[in-house]
Amino acid sequence: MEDVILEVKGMCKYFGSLVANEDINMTVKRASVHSIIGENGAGKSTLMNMIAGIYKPSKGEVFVNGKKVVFRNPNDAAKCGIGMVHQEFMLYPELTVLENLMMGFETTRMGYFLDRKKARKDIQEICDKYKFSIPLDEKAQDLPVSLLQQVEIVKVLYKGADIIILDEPTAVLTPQGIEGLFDAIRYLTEHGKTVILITHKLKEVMEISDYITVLKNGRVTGNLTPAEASEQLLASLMVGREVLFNTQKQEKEIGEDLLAVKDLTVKSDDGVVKVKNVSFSVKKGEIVGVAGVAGSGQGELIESLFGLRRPESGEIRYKGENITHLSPRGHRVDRIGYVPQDRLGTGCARDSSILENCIMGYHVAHKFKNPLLVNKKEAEGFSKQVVEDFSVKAESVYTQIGTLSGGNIQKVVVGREFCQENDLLVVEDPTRGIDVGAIEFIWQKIIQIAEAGVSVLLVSHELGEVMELSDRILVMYNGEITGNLRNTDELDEQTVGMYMLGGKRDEA
Amino acid sequence: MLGILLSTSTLAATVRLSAPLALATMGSVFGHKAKIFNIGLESYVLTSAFFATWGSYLFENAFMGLLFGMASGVVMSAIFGTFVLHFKSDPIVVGIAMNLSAWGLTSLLLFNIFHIRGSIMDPRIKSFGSIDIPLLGRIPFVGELLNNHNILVYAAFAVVIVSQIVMYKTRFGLRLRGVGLNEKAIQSAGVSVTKYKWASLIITGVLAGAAGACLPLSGISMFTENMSAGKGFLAVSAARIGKGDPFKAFFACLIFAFADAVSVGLQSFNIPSQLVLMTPYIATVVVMCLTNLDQLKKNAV
Repeated sequence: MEDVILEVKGMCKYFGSLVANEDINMTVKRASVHSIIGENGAGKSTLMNMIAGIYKPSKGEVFVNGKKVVFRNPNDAAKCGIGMVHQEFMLYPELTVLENLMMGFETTRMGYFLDRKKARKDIQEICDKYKFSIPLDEKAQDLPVSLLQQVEIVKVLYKGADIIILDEPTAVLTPQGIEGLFDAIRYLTEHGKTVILITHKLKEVMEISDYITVLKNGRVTGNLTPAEASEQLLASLMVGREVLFNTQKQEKEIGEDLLAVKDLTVKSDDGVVKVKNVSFSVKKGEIVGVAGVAGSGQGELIESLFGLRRPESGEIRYKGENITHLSPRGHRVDRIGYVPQDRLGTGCARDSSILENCIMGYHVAHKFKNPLLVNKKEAEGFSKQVVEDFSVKAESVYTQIGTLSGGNIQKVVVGREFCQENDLLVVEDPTRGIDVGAIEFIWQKIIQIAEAGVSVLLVSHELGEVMELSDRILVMYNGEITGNLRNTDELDEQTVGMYMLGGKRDEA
Repeated sequence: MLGILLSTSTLAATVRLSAPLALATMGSVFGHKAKIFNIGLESYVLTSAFFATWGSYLFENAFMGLLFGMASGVVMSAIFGTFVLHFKSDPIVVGIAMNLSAWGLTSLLLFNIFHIRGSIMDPRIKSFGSIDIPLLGRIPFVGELLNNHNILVYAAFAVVIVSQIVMYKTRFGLRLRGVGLNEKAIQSAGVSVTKYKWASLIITGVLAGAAGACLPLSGISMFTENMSAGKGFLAVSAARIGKGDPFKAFFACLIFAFADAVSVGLQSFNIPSQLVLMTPYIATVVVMCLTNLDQLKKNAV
């Protein structure tokens, strides 16, 4: 009884000379979860934007329920029952959830006045039917991301969508949030809605999808079901070659303490103690992973280690010296590198060139500087090295960094720190929201640099990443380090998970 | 001295003086919510003051003056909108250019039309008469405060209330706020940003035009060079202090108007008039500082 709700035939999209989509054919079955996977820049979002009426296709046809449709704008698509939840939420932070949901789709009295009562009733019905619970009178800015995502999904449902397109919905969520989202998706499809999921996280694809379409360089390279697929197969379809998920780690010498943290206590902006009496050390050439549920104090810990946040008490010693109150600039001078979690907000200046971003933070500390002016030659040489070593796809080092894809930006941010002669690297979520090819690449680089004798403190919300790369794993729970585990083959995710949830702890 | 500050005549003057400010502020409020920073409001008020005078002079009718004033405000908005929305010029540069040109333009027209420099007074320029509301007049204190103002004062209060309703109770208001908060989102909801920005500019033009008409047509029946004397700037500040909320912005207007009224009252004392005339502007700075205090606290690390 599975019938086709959406069909795409010969869809092409060109931006100037760039081919974003070429001859895409795809059918989506009613009440299924259909995943579209591919690396960044493979054309997933472009395809979905065409289906949702945001872009006009250069060529090709869309059929909804067997009828040919042409969309001039997103409203046309909405009328045909297609709604899209964008990766970047289309919300108004200062308005209430109710107003957010009504915007552009208002029920009115006398044609002009908002009918909040009716809107509230209608929305409440949808929430009840699909088991969403969102506070309609709170302002959007006061809600956590996972709730905002629910708001977005309810918005799409409120506009009467039967086909819901979710663009990278898991990128912003915690593991628990992802579980919640998947439950919601399953519930929606049980009730006859069709969900199209754009993602590049293979594990999730295998877990949730009924059908999978793989895109590479704007073309379809595979149409399969999870039963036919494996993570390895999907990855090779996406990248076009074998992908190694298992990093080859060499046995190596681990030296003496490079960084020693003693009894560190840090408060967050609201004055809540986020890091409680934490002590640990990082040895030379060692990769120390920090695992933990998001918000367990990792962010505050890292910020205080890098001088971005003043600790309440405790001591940070680096190469035997007390650096507790050193400024970020001082840390750079001392050869400590930092890859922040938020690559666009903290990691780079969106409107600056690759070159400027490459020397950022190092413009005073190391080289690149004559007494007064930037030494352009050296800066250029260094940025070229970063671009080459990290195979950043860009026209030149003078390209504005904001125009690159997420994976390429991340490569610049990581490359900048890795190509410096740093002794300690503090790396936060280095592969967040980037595609498998780039993930593999950055993982290799981390292993390599540690082999060269650089210590790495790796904070990641992807447990798999910590398990894969680290020599030792520190588990944070509620601001404390509950586990200090050697990462051997016997250690499994379940054990670490127990520590992460506070169910188990080392007695130090 | 405190007696004078809080006397009914000062308070009645506050009500009277708040009218042009409130009208211009409501104009600015709509621009603020649509995220158009229109510092050129001062030029709207000044040119409208001139054209209102001229209209009243030509037809010997105050309402024709008001109509001229509002029309000139709309024209100013058309100029501002063309540059800012279509040619994507920097709104601050356009605004400053308009403010500087308005002074020159009104002085030039004053000379070319009336063959006079400085100011024009003429019996043919008719003002709005004050209205005696029968019941209101009998209420002690409140009556003295609110009765016997001209129609523009009452209209200004009505405009404030209507603005609040339009902003929060109508589809137009919701979408306008949406335009200011997240352009990308509102576009994806199928709403034309340009259309709503133009609509807000037209409202600004009409209301700031009416504000300008208040100045010459509220009894003095004359136009002087630079008659607006910063009223447009005050309105922009009031709208910003109120964060685009009509009622809050109106409250800021009342403070400014009160300071203005006080400065009139203080002139009878032996205080240098220059200092006295500063009070409305000092009030602006103080109010701005106070409203931003909590913001500062929030941002402190």
